[in-house]
Amino acid sequence: MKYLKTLVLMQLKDKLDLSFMGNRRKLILKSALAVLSVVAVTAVIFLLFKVAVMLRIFSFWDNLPVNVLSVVFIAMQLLSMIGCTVGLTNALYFATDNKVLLTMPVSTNTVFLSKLTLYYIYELKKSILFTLPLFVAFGMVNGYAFYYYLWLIPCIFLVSLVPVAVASVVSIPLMFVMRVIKNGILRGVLCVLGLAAITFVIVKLIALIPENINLVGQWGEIYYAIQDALQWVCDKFALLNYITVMVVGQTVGYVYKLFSLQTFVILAVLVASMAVLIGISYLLARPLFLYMASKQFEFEKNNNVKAKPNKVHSAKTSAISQELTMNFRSLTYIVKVFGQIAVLPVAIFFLNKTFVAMNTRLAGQHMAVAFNVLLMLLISTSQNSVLASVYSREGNARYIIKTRPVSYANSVVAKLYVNLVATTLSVVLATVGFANVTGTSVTDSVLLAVIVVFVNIAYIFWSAELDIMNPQSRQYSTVGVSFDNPNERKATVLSFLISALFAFAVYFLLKEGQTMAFIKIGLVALVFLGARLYLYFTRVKLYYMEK
Amino acid sequence: MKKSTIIVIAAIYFVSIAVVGFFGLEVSSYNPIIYINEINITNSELQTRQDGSLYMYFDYVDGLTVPLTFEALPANATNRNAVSVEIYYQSDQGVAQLVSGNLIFSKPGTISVRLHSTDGRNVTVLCDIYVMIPSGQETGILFDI
Repeated sequence: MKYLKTLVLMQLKDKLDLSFMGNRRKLILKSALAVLSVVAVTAVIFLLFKVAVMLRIFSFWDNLPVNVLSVVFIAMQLLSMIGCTVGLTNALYFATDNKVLLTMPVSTNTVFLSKLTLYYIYELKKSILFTLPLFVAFGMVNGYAFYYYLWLIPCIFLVSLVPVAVASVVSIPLMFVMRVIKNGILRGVLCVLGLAAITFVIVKLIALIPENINLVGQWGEIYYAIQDALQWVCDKFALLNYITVMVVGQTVGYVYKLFSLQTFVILAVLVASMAVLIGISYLLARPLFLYMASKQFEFEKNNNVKAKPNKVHSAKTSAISQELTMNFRSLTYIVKVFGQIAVLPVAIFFLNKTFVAMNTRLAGQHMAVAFNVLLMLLISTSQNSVLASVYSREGNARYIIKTRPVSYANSVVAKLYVNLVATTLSVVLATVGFANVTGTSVTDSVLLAVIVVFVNIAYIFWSAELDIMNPQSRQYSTVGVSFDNPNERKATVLSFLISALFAFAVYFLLKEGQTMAFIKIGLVALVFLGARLYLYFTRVKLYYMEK
Repeated sequence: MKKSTIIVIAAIYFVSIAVVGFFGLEVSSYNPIIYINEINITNSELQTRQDGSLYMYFDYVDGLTVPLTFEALPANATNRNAVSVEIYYQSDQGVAQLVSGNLIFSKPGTISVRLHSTDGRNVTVLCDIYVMIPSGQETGILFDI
């Protein structure tokens, strides 16, 4: 047990900052902040639930039905299970630190259990921060007795075990799948196809939102549709629904009972299921973990590598080719780029579907256009705020650019190309969705796209310029990626300011007509872009000037 | 993107929907009355003149009864039955009378009927109805000298 605690703490230190534990003052401060966070989250959830009860959205009576809590809990648990499965698969079978851990003077059982314990601690932390406030707020809204809140404490510990137990078993087949799909390109393609399928489903669901929703006039139909949807989710995920019933009890007729025979039956089945799952994982996953961790990587040789002729690129395309090859090796990067392309169009599509469903007056339509501009700029620029550390992230390797016998501008701009292309594509798709839903003219849609693209390009170069003028390479080479970069903070603030300014300008100019407003704002965006490009290249010349 | 940035953007996203929903909506009554905006006479004998006015022609027989049929539009009008029918012109006294939506003709002649909505918008339709003895059946005065 002592060795297990040491191993877990050792692995926790890598992921979490536990320096406060040695200092009493820091410990008290950290604990107080944690309690404050839980209270704040509980307050927000309580307010949302209270508003729902007041508006009688989910029930005709003055309470919140259990199936609402169930649906939220089911969504949280499913996300936890997915996250836990992927994380545990990597941690158990593909993490490089396993080889180091096996050299420790502890049994392999202890190392294996330490991995599961680590993920249990992550889940417990998440449950205390999100799941516990959810149940507490639910109890406060429905006026449950004090023993409900006492009952929550052991339940949270038990509920946090569910994703870990399920993930420990599901990780076994997932590991085999990941081993089969070794090829990086195939993994990337499958990943993109999977994400595209998810995006397609989301877009199809959003497209189901009807036009001209009359909430008051159609409230009867909408209310029963909500009830049917909630019940459908609870029926489909009955096992997780039973866990909710076990935690919060149920109303039988007109009587609410926290503890009943059903509570204890579900509790017994849950404990037994967890025991069975962990038992299966111990019997099947542990040997696999040991096998994967003790594989001799030094002598692994891939005999199927074919010799490829060295492609000679021009000076201009060589830098771009290097960046693409380096970045697209990582699955995380591919997912990030896909997210950058897909998130904005889906968000704008949903936003405008909601606006179109409302019966807005002229001022409301102007507000809708201004909010579209605000959110398009905000989302797209915030995604590019990471470029404020694009050069510094390489650490001391940043200065390799100076050794190239080509124009420095070529190499530094090459790092921005992926973001430029992804952002432009994302904005174009978002504008197509906007025009499709709102029926905006082609001219106005093109002007809107041009404005957002110009502002984004200007912002991208501005963010990169921040990194050139205030390099943080030394910090990245010593502390690492988790360092809080002041350039990124500045870039985030800039993105909010720029988005707000342009949105306000659009709103106030719209009274002159949409096309005229967009033309004027487009000219401002063009000047802004010109200014930022000039400043960027001037500073690159200055920074990389040879004395 | 940092988590705090994502949370702020998400909050702005939902606030934008709330702002447009509260401050940008068209003011409308929640129980709007849908008024009649059109009345159509649906008798098969109805004809239209070049100037758009309506008329019907019937051959007179003893006890001629013409059921006056019409429809009020739109179909979802709050009160589709709010239509009043009246005879506002007769070529001779006692040509016809209106009984329970039917025009009962006592003798040949010309009448004009007016249909108008009584739910507030006062939509009006006029129609002339000619009732004549068919040719060849005219009666004359026989002088017995």
